[in-house]
Amino acid sequence: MLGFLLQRLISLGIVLFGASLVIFAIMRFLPGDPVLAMLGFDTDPVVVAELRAELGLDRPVLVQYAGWLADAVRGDLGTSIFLRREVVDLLAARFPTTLALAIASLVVALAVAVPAGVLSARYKGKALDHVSRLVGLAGVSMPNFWLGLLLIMFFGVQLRWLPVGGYVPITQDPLAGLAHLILPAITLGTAYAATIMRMLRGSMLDVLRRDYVAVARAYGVPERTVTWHDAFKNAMIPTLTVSGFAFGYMLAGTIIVEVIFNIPGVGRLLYESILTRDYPLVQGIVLFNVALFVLVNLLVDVLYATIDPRIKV
Amino acid sequence: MSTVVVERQSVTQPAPKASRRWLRQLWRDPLALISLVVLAVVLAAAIAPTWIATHSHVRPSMERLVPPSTERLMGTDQFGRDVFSRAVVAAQVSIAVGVITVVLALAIGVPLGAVAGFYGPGPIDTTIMRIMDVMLAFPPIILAIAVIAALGTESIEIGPFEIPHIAKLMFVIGLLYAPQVARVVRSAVLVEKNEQYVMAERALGASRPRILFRDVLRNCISPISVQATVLVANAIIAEASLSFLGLGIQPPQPSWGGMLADAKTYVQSGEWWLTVFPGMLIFVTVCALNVLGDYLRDVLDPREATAGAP
Repeated sequence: MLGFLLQRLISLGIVLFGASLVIFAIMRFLPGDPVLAMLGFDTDPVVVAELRAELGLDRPVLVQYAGWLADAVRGDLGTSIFLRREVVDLLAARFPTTLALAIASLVVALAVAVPAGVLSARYKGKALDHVSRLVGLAGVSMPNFWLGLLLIMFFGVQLRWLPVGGYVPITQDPLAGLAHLILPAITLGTAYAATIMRMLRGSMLDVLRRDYVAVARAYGVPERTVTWHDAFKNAMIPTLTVSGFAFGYMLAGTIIVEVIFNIPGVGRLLYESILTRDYPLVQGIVLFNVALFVLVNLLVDVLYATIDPRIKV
Repeated sequence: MSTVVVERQSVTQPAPKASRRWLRQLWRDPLALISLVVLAVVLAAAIAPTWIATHSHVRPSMERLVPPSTERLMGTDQFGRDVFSRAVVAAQVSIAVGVITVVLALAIGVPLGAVAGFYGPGPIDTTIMRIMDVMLAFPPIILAIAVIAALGTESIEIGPFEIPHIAKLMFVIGLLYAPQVARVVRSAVLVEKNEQYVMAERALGASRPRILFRDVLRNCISPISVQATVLVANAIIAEASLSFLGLGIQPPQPSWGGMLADAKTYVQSGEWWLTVFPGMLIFVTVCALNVLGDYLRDVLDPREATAGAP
């Protein structure tokens, strides 16, 4: 187990190092001058040179990269040009919001996917199965920004049941916080609900074909017990893995939902940093997102190996 | 008695080629058939938008924010432009980006995956797949957002060439999907390279590149075409997402994502047609592609289970 963990940590390091190279290359070698883009093309050359020096852009490229990487490893991602604050501080302030949104989305996705997947496997080929597969297909095909706008139109504007945007921390006001999270969580969770449902249905069908299920049925164990106690427990393992990866995607993929619902999370910060051409901030958020994504994937792998004793690590 | 013999004969006939099989079974799958019709209509709009569009897609008029009617099928937007005509022209952009992106992803991913699978295990395989792992470590869209944030949304000049923004978009999204293609091709080649015919050709003295690119890859077409179909759907959503964020297709050029970005302002004031129709078109097109992908997987590649990541 320790060897497996060490091996995964080393490959995580390699991947993160590669990703940092890619991010740095994108920001430095692509055509276009970030400083001119930020200040405008007819700015006084003295001002341009000053900002260039402030950002360290006048130093050799390798020195720039080494400096950035060394700082990043120590937890210093630089300073935002536009907001004049440490990138790390900005991320720390925004991340809890994004985390709450991702957790709520995962809850929505599982609440839909687990019953739908299990029942659709149990009634394979019946009407219920067809309906839930069609809904699943619609779920993966629906662009989440469209779904978000439709939800706002229907539940926010038409019925006036839920707020159309904004954010209230749950710790501050649990009821209002929850109300503000429902529509964004449905928006982000739907596509993953469909993915998890398809996965669960597949592995349920696989397990229901096994001998021990036939034995349980032959002993007269009620079908409900067979489905939930015997089959579901075993089908849960691959589903858990998929849900874990989905959680990683959700954490990194909140930008559109945060823009639609005006939620002050990391995704909206990235959106704003692009609009203001705040390069250190863009660079920092992208690196943070990659690190988070890779870390969640590693945790899912470890969890998978811990839960299923059949997996040798 | 004679009927039994006839049946036996038909069973022992050689299996029809994959290319015909997927057409023949289409009649038994109404959902796939409908999807194919839907895609044909969208494709027709993409190829000849001027035949289908009822009004100019750029010219403003005084009839602003008019609800749908028989005259204005999908109503008009805040500048009095015809939403239906704009949506038809936008189909061209979406389909072009979707298809060209995937062609690019295949052009990069297929050779890399094929070489990695065929010449592996070894340093070539490891190097290629490590680079792909780094690319896959980026959450989807984040990489595209980072590149477009750095490049800007105007056309750029590289040497004597002027690169329009839409070409940058295609390249970025294509690059994003290349590792996924490489992974699928690699695993298909890994299976295929142990087949007897590969050994036979080696024994006959055929060179390895010749075997790989002439024969092995031809036998990997099924998984590749399944993945390509689903990737076109994903690429259309990716382009629409970027356009929705203002990083994709730039106004006044219509795009489905861009139309929804404009519609965002009117979500609370009741102009529902601005939101419903462009989104519906993305949804229907992507749905049709996903159904077709599932169908192709079932017909061409029975080994793969129907469970894909978004």
